[in-house]
Amino acid sequence: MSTEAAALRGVQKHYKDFTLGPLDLTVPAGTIVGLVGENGAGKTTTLRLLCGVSKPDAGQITLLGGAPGEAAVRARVGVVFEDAYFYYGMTAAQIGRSMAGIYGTAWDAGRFAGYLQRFGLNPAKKMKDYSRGMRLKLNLATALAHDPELLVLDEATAGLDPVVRSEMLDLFMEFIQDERHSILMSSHITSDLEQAADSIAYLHHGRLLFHENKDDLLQEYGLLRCGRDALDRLPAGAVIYTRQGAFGCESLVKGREDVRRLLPDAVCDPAGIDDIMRFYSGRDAQ
Amino acid sequence: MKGLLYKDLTLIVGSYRMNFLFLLVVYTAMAFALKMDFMAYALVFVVGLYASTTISMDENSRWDLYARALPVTPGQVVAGKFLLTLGCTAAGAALGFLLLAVMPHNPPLPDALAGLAASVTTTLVYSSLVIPLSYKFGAAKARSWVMAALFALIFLPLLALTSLPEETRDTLWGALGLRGDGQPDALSLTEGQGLWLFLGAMLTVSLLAVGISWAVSVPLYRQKTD
Repeated sequence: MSTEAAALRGVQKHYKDFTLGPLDLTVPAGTIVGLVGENGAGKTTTLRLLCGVSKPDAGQITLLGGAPGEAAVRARVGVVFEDAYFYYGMTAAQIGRSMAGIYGTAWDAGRFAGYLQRFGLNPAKKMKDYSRGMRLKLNLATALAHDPELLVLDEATAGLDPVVRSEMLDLFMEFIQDERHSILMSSHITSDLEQAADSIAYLHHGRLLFHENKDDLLQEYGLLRCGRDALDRLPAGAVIYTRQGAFGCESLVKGREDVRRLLPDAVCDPAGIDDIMRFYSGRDAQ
Repeated sequence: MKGLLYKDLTLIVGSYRMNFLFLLVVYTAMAFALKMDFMAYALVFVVGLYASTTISMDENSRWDLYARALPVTPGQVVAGKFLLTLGCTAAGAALGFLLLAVMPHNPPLPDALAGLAASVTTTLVYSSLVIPLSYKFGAAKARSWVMAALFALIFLPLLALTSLPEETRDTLWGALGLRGDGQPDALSLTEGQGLWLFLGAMLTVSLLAVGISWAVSVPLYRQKTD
């Protein structure tokens, strides 16, 4: 089995007012990769390129050992897009029958029915009568019913209450247990990614700023609060960006333990993914 | 393909069931009360056009984008729409035929067949314009483009024909086996031959329209999400 579920190498996509890439990103098999970035950073474009929805202008995409353009490869992927699915007038049962016709023998009607039951979804009810959370659950049940090797989720937990989100995250963890399955998920809810993801890829203005192991990332970055003069005692490259406030400075620093050692009197707390994004985008807006 | 057809059929049945029953009752009542066999031919058009309306439902739910991530090809998605159009038109033609058969003052069989063939061809040509234009401009904007295309297809050739010198026109009609006024030449064709010629011409026009439209629609559909 390949160690990479998916890989983008030198991928570029040009639009009138936005360019993605060149982008290099891999999704190791058996892991959850969280894709973060500001609105318009290129997360959805990246996921669509990976799934074969759109074609890159340059670069190469490998999906489960093949190309996204091959229907047989796409049959091994499950997708949940935030804004694209079946028409609201259809019921879950009708969607199941339609997908059975599309996936053929790969479609597991029993598994689909099992997910509907687990999520508390009435198969006879029209989608328009579902809440947003229920529709997302149905979307997810549809993506999982053919036992995909890679699950691609675009803001799949957005708009869900904490209880349902927690259920979803448990399901994702369950999904990757056998190490044959992988997940690439974009989310603005970074606490979900801190909970579930193995690694975090940060897209910023169409470029990948980093793709790092989540634990290392959370170990590495820190939020330093101190006076301006203290910052001068840090080595070059340790400070990513500093915000000057009325009572001192707040900085995102890399190499938290080193910073703590160099500035024992300053406060240096662990930085979350939100903090990292906030400071990186602040730096670039400067 | 089976799944795509099932999805679209489900959408049609779910969205147009009441509309269809209402039209069936009204058209049948008008056909009987006003002795209007035209209603049977109109039924073909209305039922046939249900198929292409699924494109706007797909747009509404952004199904096309979702479908690109599924194991189906653009060719299959577009072929599904044309198969559905053919199926709906065939169902409309069968209903129209049935309506003509039960009407108390029904037209003679050759007239009925010619009328149904003309309505089937009209439906298929119209759908052949609607499908690619919907993929190109979106279902809402496509309506205006269809009108423009129909104008170009019908009135411009007529305009060109009328501007030809009379002798050239007669030669052209003669080559097509028609009289100078565009009617079948009674001297050279029997009524039966004329009917078969007409049915053959309608079938050829329909097949050509569907074939060309499918070939144009697939790349347009592919460009939609690229």
